[in-house]
Amino acid sequence: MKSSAARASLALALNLCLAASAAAQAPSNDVPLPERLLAAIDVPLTLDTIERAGLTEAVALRVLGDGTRTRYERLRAASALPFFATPTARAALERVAAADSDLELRVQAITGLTRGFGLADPLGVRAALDVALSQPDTPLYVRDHWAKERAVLESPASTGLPR
Amino acid sequence: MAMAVGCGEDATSDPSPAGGEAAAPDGGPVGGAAVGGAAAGGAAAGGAASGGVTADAGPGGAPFLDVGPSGGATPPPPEGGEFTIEVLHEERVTLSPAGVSPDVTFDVPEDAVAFTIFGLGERPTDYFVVEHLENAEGEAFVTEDPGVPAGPFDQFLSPWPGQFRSPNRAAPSEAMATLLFPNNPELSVTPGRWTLRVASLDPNSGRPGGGEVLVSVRVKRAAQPPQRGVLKLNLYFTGARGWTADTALQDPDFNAALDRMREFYEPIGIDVVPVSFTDISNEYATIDSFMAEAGNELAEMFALGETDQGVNLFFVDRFGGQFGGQIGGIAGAVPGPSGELLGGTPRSGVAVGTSIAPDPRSIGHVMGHETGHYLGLFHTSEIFAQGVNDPIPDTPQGQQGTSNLMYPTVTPEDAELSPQQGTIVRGNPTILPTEVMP
Repeated sequence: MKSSAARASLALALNLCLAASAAAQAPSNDVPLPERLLAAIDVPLTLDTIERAGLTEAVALRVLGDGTRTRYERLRAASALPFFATPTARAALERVAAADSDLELRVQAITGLTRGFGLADPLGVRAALDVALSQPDTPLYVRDHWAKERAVLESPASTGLPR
Repeated sequence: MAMAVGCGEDATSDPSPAGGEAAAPDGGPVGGAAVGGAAAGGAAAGGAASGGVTADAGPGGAPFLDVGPSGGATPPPPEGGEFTIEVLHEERVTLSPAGVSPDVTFDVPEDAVAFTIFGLGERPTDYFVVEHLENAEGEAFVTEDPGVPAGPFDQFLSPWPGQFRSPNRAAPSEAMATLLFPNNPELSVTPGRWTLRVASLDPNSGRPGGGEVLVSVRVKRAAQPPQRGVLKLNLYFTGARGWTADTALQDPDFNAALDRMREFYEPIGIDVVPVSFTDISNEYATIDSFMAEAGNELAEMFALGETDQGVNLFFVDRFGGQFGGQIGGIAGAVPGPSGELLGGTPRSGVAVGTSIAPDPRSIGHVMGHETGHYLGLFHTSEIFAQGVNDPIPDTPQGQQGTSNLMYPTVTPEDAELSPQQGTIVRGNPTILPTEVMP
């Protein structure tokens, strides 16, 4: 775990493209830090960044459920929820996967469910998504994605699933 | 919120053809296949001392070609044209047990305005950085101890925090060390013999890296700082958003995204010109691993970017990673590699996720932002590290600076690059002379 944590921290540093000049204290931002994280272009969502930003499950749920937010913010919120690993987070993702009007959100929620919850409960995740996505009006785009993620669920080592 | 083009069934039921074959479109506003035309001055680069690089140089050689140390006599200044770009030095060095290279020296000509340093390592998952850089007078611009007090975010920022806080910021990246000098408008290139060192770290063990590093220094020479230039884009398509090499230029969304990107660079004197269009495997439409992992897909995809002039821009659907964590885009390095021997490396590209927004302007924003990193720009301010800003005085600092392209969040709203950011970018040897284009 120590090695993993160090790796994550170092990898994060590589991707942040950070500045180093110790300039004057930055002014405060109108947008709270947790929500800035959800709009960040190239800052990965990791346990470390979520903790540093103070992003809570409640904030992620609120942004995910807010149709006035940009798709990107909602995608990031859906990506963050598996880190909390709660039944509430899982239920929210199941709702989005089943019925959100934005197909990209549905796809993201499927990914979050398989990769965030599928390792601990592969049968439960598979059953829930099979039911949710078996409706005849489920778009092919969503069904295709579920087919890919189901393969991931059956063979976690085939992708970047946590090991 | 309107649905995105390419998010529907057509986007997946008709994937683009796989394979790496170049597919230049017929006609279109920017022409077809790679644009030729020589840069002013300079012969084709190779292992020879101080060889020049022409803008239409052929595909880059494989990494770790057998090059010997170069340097010695300073080449003559350019004759005519805005500026020339030349390989100033190439040398293969072996890292010490401490993970640091021996001194590498190179001679900077009188008319140099900027240079890039690339140190391509043998171990693609190790981290590399330009550990030290000083001029002929011994003035250190990158150093372990820059004389700046340590900050609370140091270990968060980089495994090499001193280099990070140095006058000319050095950021680490996987597989290769990269640096643009100057990336701070208060610094300037001085002639004479410069010295650099490269360092490496194995992120999995935390121990020093090892093996050989191919160090390459490329210089931009001009009588005056360049005011204009050309950024060649080599575009790679996974089929994301339905965009392919054959169809992209006919797609309104693609053109809107490209136009948005041009809006950022035209005011600073840079013409953004797509010059090649290539379909790659649809397997890369989702990038599942993009951090320091053996065989990570991002590095694998970037290595397909064999074009060694300009920026290789890859369009993917989305980034996966742990729990499917989305990012909007990512640059291979700050700055990214470009030039002879530097195509096809694990860092040779910029990747943009096209599923992030229905609005192509947001995609164009990410294209512009990540390309800005590739050309050597840092975030104007970091969202986590309060008070950590870029070293450029005329950029908006702090978290109110969302109007700058290099602020870290995505927006469809207006944004721009500052004049000093323009100066930094135009100095990068990746920006070619305007006369290379027809």
